[in-house]
Amino acid sequence: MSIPVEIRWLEPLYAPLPLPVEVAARVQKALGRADGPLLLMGDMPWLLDLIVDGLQLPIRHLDKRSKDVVSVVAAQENACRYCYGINRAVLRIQGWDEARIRQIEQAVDLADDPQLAAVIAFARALSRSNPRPAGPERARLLGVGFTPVQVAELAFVASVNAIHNRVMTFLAAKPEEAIEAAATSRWGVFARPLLRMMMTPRPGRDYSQEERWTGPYAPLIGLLDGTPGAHVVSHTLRAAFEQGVLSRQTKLLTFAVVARSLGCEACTDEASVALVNEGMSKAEVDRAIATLECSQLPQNEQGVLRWVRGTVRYVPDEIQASTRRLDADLGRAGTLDAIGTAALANGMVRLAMLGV
Amino acid sequence: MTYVVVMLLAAVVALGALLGRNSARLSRTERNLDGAQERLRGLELSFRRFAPPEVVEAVAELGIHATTNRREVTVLFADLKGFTALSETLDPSELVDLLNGWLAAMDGAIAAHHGRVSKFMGDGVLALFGAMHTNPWQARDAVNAALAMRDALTRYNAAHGHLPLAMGVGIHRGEVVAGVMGSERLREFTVIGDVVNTAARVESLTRRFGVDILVTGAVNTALDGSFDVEEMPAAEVKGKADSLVTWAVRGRCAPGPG
Repeated sequence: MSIPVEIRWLEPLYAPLPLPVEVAARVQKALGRADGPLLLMGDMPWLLDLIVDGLQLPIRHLDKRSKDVVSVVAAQENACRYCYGINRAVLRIQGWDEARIRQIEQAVDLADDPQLAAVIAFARALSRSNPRPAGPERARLLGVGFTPVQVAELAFVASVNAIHNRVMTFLAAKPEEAIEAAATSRWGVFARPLLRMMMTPRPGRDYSQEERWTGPYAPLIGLLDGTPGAHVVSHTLRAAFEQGVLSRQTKLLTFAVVARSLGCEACTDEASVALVNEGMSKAEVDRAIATLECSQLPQNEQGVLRWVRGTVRYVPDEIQASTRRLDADLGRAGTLDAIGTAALANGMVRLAMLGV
Repeated sequence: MTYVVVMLLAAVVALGALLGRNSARLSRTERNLDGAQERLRGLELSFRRFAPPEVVEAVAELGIHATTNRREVTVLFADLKGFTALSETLDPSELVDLLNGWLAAMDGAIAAHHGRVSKFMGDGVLALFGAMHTNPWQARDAVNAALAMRDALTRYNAAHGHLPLAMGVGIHRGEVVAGVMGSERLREFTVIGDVVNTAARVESLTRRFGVDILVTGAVNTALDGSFDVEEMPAAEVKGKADSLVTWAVRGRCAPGPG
């Protein structure tokens, strides 16, 4: 066991399936690997892209240390066994010793490093979102020397991790014990420089106006102006709403339910307006959000909203069991689409704290 | 000369042995500390099932007094009817089995609907919805839990040969003070406020009206017409200046359009 706590975790939701050759080549080029949990989601291309983009996690203004710390704290808070093991391993590979990692996890003895303490507090608060952090938390980060654009990237990193942690948890991705072991073993010292090189953040693409997503949640893109995260969010929202097998109403209601659960009125309204534009009446939308039932959705998607509600705060093995029940209604493609949409909604509503 | 060299060598060897032993002891102590830290962390995570993580951390760092806040919760109060009479006819061990079986069934129904049992009080149960996390569906959850409790009790009665048990459930919603409370010897995460007392009073009205589930207006307005409810006459209750209007919950309505 390479993580300090036991997280109850079921066997993977699906058997791995080989990726199509051209997809595997693209993923291999981007990440240096095309295996592990990626093989669980190859038949839902937008979800695979979401994970690949997120693993690259492009940042331009934020320091790498803060990015790595946010990732491990988010995985710990979201109790993602897969991500927690990987992100801990990343810190070890970057040269952090076990004692310092424990300090981060327990948020103790950090008086000598107020920036680190502020980053940990922010990552915890945004991951929990009980309630969602807002002005005071942002002010604390600015107070210890982060610039507004760095704060935006911190929120972006925490939000992307909220997405990743959920996808890996709902799929019950098998922990990467070989990487975890390489990070701590004596022999792993030879592999660490290579792993470090693979983990160097990519600068990411600049956001271009031509690619601008103008559909639901487009205002979130503006919160990341000047960062490569804007492109990732734009690209991902477009893919999520234009691809997949679930109805657009189910996807929009997924966003609305997550937004209501996290107390984001602006995000709830954004979904409501989009649903009205799709042809639902405002009263129908309000009722669906209030009751988690909507007879206008396709029969096999009727249970999605009740499952979505459980994706905001959960116990890993319980949400994994509930995802298996969802699979009975939706099948593999539908479940992967639902997992990606719910995870994305959780990330986007957290990101929206930048606009509060 | 030889003697001095031998003595020096002996001293070096003794010092080396001492250092080695201390180093081993230090390593052992570090391992024990790590183990203790891991167990504490595990304990902290376990406690998150009983109180919000923020509360657990605040208790660990600041003590219990820094951990109260105000929040909107829905309180469900359930009580067995006729339990006192039953307790006079049953053997004590049978009575305990009966009660434990009922409490377990109720706990399962409450947990399945995002609630948490705050207290078992003899033959009563106090459950909270929205105390751990903000929950915009808390009123519906509480009513769904009450309906599941009704079904669970029916199954429980069918499976056991004793006199059929009956229960009353009162549900109310409002702002409470939530936090870790108690004495040095016994502390718990719970809520206090008029909402709790009112839920108990509403439960007592179930006997007067001959129904099993009653909710207040604060709960009923949050149900969006998706439950079959019947308004009861206004009733005076102990400790309340104004009479209370309650609604009896019959069941769920069939899903409407949209």
